[in-house]
Amino acid sequence: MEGMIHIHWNWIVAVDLFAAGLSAGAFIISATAYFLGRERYETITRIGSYIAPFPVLVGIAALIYDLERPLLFWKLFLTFQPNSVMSLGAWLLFFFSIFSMVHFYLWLPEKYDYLKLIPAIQSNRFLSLSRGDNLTKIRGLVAGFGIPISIGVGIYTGVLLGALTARPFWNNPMLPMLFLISTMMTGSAAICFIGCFIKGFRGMSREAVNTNKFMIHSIDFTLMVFSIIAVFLFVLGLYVSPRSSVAAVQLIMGGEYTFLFWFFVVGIGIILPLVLEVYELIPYYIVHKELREHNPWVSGVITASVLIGGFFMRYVMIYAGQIARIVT
Amino acid sequence: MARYGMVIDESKCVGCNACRVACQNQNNLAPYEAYNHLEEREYGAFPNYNREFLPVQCQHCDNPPCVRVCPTGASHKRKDGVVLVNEDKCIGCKYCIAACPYNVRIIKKEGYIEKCRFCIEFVEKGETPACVTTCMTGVRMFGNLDDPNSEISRFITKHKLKQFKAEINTQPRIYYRKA
Repeated sequence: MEGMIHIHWNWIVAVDLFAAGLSAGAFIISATAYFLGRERYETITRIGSYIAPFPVLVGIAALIYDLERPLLFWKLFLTFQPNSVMSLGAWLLFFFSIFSMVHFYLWLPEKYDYLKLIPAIQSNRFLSLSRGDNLTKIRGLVAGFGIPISIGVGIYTGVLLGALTARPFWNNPMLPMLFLISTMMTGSAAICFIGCFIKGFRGMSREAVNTNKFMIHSIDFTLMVFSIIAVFLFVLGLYVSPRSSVAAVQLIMGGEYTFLFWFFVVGIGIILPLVLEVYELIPYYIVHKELREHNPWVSGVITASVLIGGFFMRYVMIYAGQIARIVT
Repeated sequence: MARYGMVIDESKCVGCNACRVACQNQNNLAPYEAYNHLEEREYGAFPNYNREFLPVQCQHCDNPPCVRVCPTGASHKRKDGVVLVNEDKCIGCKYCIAACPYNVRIIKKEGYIEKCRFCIEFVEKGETPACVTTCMTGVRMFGNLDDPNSEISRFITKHKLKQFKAEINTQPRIYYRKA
């Protein structure tokens, strides 16, 4: 008992934070692309809307499974505790699931619109509003109101940990920022992955492929630069805090999680894809040549390593945060 | 309204663990479960060497992080300052365990979180908690902090006492007299 370290939140919580973040990121990128160029970036918006609703369901399932009393999870929704980040998060996830489902439905191709098969729904005035001329307006409304909610989900996964003064490794204002940036990185990586390998480029002009690819790689590149800054400030922030935090940062600066953090999170999750992004983008940015021919390997390595790095970030944070404690 | 608190005189503790066993008896706990534990620290260099014991249990903070983070309102603070868990509302998310700096919350096998309750059923009948009555060296003192004539209030005004991990603003209700 004395001085023993109990890990109460294990990798299942890391899966939840990763999956919720992935969904939120996909929604943010998808909705942002919609407002940046409705026709130009349609592919990004469409793929993002197909991804968004599903990882979050896995995440919610993981969250409920991790409860000691999974069958009582509904008690979260009988109350609202504004001081509890978990209560806020539960409600955010609830509304996010609804928004991502509606977003998904609005972008489904007509032929998959199975709700039409039920005559009662077909004749329903409210639901038929979402087709035809109103479609653009409703898509815009859902994307617009969905963005703040999904940013909220992205931040919540970080604030959930960062709000605890008892855990010096987590109690750092840069942690939620790191989580939010990682959220958007994994979201755009998932969109790129699905776009390159599952949807494929059939039926798209070379122009359209290049525009969308350039867009998603530019977003990725920007986010990676910011995430390096966030990692730097996170570590610096722990070093310049009281001695509990200085003791806590030793976990990733020479301690147990050094390899996982610096190799998987920073090396594979940020540096490697950043180098490949530069290799993809430099000819376009500086030389102003056309983008080189689509190379599935480069995109594949970038997306896979971003996703792996994103998961390991959550994993390291969850475990290291519970090991570190207040030094008296 | 009473405002319950406790004083723990570390200098008297010999590390016999009787408080832990008494608490387990009182609350029907399994041998591996405990609401209070001793943190042991060795200091000095031979031959000027010593050990000290720090009895730790729920501090019934006035600014309790566990109550703040509870998503269902199961962890709550009563008017008399005792922090309790409502087992019907608890869903076992373990967020309060992560939020507690004192590492005193345990998961019961029914799946809810429990911790030291200041033996509130006893105290309401005018008795003292089991860990207080059982201690052979009189380490603990329990009483009403609002009553200026109570034994505990007079002890607090007379001695220089510290609170455990007070720097993170939990405002604990348990005062320690350092060895």
